[in-house]
Amino acid sequence: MKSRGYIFTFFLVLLTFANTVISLYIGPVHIPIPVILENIYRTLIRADPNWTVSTIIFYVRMPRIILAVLIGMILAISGLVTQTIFRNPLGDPYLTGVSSGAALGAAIGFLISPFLVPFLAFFFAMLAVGISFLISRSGGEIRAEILILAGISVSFLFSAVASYLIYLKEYNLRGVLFWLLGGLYGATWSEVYYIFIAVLIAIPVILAFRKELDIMLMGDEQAKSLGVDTGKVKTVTLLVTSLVTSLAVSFVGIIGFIGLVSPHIGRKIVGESHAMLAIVAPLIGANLLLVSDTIARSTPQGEIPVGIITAFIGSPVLIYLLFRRRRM
Amino acid sequence: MIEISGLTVRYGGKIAVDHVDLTVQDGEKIILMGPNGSGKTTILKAILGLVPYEGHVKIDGEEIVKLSRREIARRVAYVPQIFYTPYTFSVREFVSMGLYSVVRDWLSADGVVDRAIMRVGLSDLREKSVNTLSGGELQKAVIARALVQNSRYILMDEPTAHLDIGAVKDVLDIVRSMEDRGVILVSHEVHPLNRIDGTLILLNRGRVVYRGNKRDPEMEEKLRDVFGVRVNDANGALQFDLS
Repeated sequence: MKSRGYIFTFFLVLLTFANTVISLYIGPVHIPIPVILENIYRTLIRADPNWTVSTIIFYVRMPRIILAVLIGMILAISGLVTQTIFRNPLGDPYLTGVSSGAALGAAIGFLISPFLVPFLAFFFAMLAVGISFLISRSGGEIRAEILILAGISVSFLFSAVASYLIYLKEYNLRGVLFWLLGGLYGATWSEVYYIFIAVLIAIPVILAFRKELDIMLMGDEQAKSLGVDTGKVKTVTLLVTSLVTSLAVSFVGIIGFIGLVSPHIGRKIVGESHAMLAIVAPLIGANLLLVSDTIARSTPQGEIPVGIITAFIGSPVLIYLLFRRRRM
Repeated sequence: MIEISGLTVRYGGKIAVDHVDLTVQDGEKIILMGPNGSGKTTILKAILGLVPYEGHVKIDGEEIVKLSRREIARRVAYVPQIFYTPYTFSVREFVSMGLYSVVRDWLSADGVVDRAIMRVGLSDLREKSVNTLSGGELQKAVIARALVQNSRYILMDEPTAHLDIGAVKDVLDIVRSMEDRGVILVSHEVHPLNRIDGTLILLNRGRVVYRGNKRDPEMEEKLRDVFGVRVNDANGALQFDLS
């Protein structure tokens, strides 16, 4: 399984590069791939770019593509952690209330000023997560089964308030709806920078807990009897993934299915070991979101929210996996 | 030595274990028997620090609640009841998990893992996924995982439940071979009494109602009282008489 994991990781890295080049090529302005590659070389090595082509590549397409790769990674690693900690195959990064918190923050943002949307989305996402964590703490430890219910309850409450605000300000509905379905339009290098730092924190932290997460698949009782401080592992991993997911959501809205499906695809190929999965699942998430976003921005109707495409790709994959499990 | 004194465990308002005293010396085998709900598993969980309790549970003189998870795992290993696991970890990976509290680098301890796998008779299956093992094989893998933990005491929760009689014998022989380790083996069958030279502690409704290591009429009488079924002694082997 291990050598298969290394081969697959290598393949995924190559695929990410290939998808990046193809995504750079696709867009309203036709730029052939050799011209793209030549301009990247001229810009980065010779500092003598063709400014028109370079602007399209470096300021329009590339930040968006890299952001898609990084956000895909964050959603996948967060989904992986959620599924492991809750021992629930339907776990996704938004289970602890991140999405409804972010939605409420965004709704308030659209009410006051669209400029505030990312900040308020992040703040309210973390607020929702914080409330869920507080409700589920018992005896100094987060209880996973209560955290799921707390996340659902908090989500309902925050969603209700968000819906009420959207109902009040009907004329802003399209903006909020577009945001809720997620989108990478208008990506900037500063967003890429912040999300890159988030990835640099999240993946190493999860890798540091790889053994503990493997053992925790056996259940809390066995993990504790083997010496794992399950309280610490849950708190640190869920806090880190909630934090980076909230950051991702505040920039690009709520993109579904990537966090749910990527760990499942990874498990089918490299097994359950988190040493491999914590690398493979993010790479799968990166490719899924990159391909979805490239499709989302090149439909005949113009740009559509990427969440629609991820749902179109993600749900058949999930149904296929469920069918395979049913046959086992 | 494991020393338990005045151990009381409550679930909600209900008393599951009621003022139990118990000691386990190095190498000693304790067979903890009792009907369903008599508090057997709860006593094991209290020793592992998995349930809040009143009274004292000490290992080598230290109260269990003052020890970290890792320190408890270094002193006591646990063999829970597992009938199936859906995961694709190989037997070797699964057994390696027992090293978590012992060493940082699991790979460097491959020899320890292989020896434990050999001791329980699973060498041929070490690269197999645990989700393909039979109930008996999985139980042996769990015992191997406890062996690599290298603790002086092993707590076993009904390790022979749901196994065919051949697998029961294999598992009990492994327990018998652990001469240097103190074992508490929970059971509601008489097979461990016949195969292991140890002390029987009988529980009923959370209380100890008998303790002794002599297969005599008193032991048979107490077993009958607790389980409500006659016990026969067939050529030195006890068996419940369901006829």
